[in-house]
Amino acid sequence: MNLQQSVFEHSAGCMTSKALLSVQGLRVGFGSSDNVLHGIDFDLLQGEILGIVGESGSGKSVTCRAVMGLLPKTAHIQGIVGFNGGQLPASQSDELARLRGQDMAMIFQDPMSALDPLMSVRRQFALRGIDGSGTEELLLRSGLSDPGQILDSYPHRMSGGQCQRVAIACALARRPKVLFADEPTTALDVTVQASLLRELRKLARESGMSIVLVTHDIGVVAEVCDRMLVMHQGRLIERGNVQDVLRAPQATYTRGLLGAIPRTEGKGKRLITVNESGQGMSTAPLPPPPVIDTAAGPVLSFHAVNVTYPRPDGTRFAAVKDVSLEVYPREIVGIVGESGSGKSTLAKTAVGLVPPSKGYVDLDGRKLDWQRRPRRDRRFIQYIFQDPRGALDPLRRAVDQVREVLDLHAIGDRCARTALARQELLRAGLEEDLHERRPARLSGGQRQRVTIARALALKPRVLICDESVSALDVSVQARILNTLLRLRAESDLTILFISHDLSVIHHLCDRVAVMRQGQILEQGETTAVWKAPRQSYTRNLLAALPQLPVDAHGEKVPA
Amino acid sequence: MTRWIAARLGRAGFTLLLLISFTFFALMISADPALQILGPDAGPEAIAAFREKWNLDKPLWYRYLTYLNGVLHLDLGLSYRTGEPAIHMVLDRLPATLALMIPTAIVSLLIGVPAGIYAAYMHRTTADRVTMLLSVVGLAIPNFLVGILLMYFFSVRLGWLTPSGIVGWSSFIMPILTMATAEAGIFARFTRSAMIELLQHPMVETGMASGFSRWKVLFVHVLPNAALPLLTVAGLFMGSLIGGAVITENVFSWPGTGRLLVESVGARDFTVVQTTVLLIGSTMILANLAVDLSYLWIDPRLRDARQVARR
Repeated sequence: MNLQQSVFEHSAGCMTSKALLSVQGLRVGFGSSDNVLHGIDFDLLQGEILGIVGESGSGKSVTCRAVMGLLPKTAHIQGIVGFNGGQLPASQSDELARLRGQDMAMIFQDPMSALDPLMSVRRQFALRGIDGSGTEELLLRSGLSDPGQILDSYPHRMSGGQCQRVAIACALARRPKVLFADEPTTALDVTVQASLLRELRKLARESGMSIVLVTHDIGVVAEVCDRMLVMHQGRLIERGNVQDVLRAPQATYTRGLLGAIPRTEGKGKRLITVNESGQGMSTAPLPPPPVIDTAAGPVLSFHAVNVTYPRPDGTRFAAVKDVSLEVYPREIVGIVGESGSGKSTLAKTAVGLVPPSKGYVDLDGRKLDWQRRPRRDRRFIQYIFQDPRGALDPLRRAVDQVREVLDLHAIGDRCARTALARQELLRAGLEEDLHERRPARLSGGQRQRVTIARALALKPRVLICDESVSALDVSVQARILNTLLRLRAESDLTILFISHDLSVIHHLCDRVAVMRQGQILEQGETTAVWKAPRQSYTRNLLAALPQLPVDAHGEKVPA
Repeated sequence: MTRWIAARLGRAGFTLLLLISFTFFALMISADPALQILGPDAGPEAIAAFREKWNLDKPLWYRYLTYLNGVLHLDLGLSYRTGEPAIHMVLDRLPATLALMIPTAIVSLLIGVPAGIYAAYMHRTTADRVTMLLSVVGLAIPNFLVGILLMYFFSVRLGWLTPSGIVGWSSFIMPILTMATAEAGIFARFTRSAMIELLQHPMVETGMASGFSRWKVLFVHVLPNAALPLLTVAGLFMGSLIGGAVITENVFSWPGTGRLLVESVGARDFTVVQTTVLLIGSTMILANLAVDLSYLWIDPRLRDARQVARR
């Protein structure tokens, strides 16, 4: 089927420009294990931006690395890489290495560590044979307006966006014809992402460079790519022009992927996605959201909370400034902001992980004091972190980790606690046969379910989720969001949800607070803020959000 | 920066003071040099005369302050045994010790670092495991045992090398090998773990993607970054090198400061012991100060932190 599609592309779609890079029958395996890639074919045309979308483990990064000859020697590689007329077996990584830098270049996800911390930007360029005016020109082309200052900077003095631009400038040093960009904006704030994507677009337009953009974010593909490939478990599931694929996805998997993305019109509705075997899942509508009753007063409230951190020079840095926020029973309140806005620091004052320097936090009108013993209050506010792997004990079974907190707070009958723990795991959506597993044998989404079960086992009044879905694949994220909405509707759970992802916040939250530089810029009903943001900062955030075409659709959203 | 160095030097001086004081009191409490040096047959007058000559009849605090005053004026006292200035005795022996330590440092770096690099590139292969096994063996076998084994094979069995003293360049082979086995093992292990971590670092892939060769990435990115943890090891390395020298010199009857130290301890020649300890202590402190300074020189992040602190 892949072959047929390839032929089809050549004959119908792309008569005007010939393929600059053509990959045929690419297969990759590691050690004795199964193939990681099962035969990938695609063409890259001159000056186009090709998006490769897929979830973690789909093989999208391996594809790029195989073409670049960057896979470790232990990899078994088959297939043909055609470049600029010539053809090379993909297994000849030494031959492919000759193309690196001058014909093909690559940038990576984590811009801060892509650059050597011990080297100034000037030296990074010197290593690539560029000095003098050439460096300034490259930095300008990469969108850095003050090259003189950047040249003598070291990576730790630059922001993530600046580092990524320097990495791009380094990649462009020898005028490559193809740029592979592997999740180049994933670690960056949404406004930085938007300007970086514009820059890539400009590079392709102006210098005729072709770009392969690997991302998990379909929104990013919709913004900048001409054509796209959808990958799943080492196979190409779908390909075509971006607009065509998004408007009329052919494969079930693609439809599931699109359905998993929170959309404005589906706010609070069940996200329909596919599970790991590519099949659909429950489409039953979620129970209706509860009516928020503000008469009884807030369950959690922050009163003019201030947090300061010491700087190395002895002065103090204000991370949170005079923030007041109320959360009412059964409400989901979102805190949204870019990195360094103080949203996590604020939330941590509610559980005593960060002491406020001024101000205080109330639970049910009672001032919280984490110094006082016994610390029984702790069970009433539970916190879920971004990285479930780090939050779980790697040596203990899932069910024991949930039971442990029950033991700690002496909840329920001693003998009944294991059963209780299992019940919580089921409620959080972790199937029975996974309860005995240790975290290493669970997927990212399953691990996050364990931390959710562990938090909810204590029957907390408030659950704080700190970027709890940010590291998960979009389909896994969709299922966790469904779970959170269901749990809120079923019980009297109140959620404070922290995220940098505006679409997730919009989907989930009744009210939202936008934070910047330690302050809440504006807060209100989520729909109201989205429709008519009062602050220009909020408007910029919303404008920077990559958009899917309005008529793009996945599975039908049940009414 | 100058203030930082001044603070470091002040701290170093304080460390040295602690060291001197501790050795002084420990030695003075431990035994009576008069009885030890004059022997059991000495009469009471001879002992009294010895004590008066060396101020041993004065109270402890008086002797302590006199000693400190001497140290400040670089007067470290005379040997109880020979009456020579202790510092001369120590410095006379120093070249022989340095002639062991410097080549040992070079040999152990030349063996340890490449072995660590090799093992890191061969991570999780048999070659890696064999290299690491050898390094554990190297650092686990005590120095004196290595020395005795070498002596047994090369001197007793094969008769190739003279077992003790300095009779020519070949005398250096066994002592240096003895000391270098452990040090090379330590360097190999630390180099390997620093390298394994760095080879995973995104900058390595970035370098490769820019078309750099493996060697270029190794020398330009990986080794300079791996040098950071290795520098700390190098500071500690001074200590084990000195400890190793003391043991090795005694095994091979080497006329160095290590052997002088052991002789002087045995003879209760306290001024010489103190002078040796002072010399070793200053070397250690200076070595670690050098390590701290080279961190500033290598790592721009630390340089910035220092500048912020100065403001």
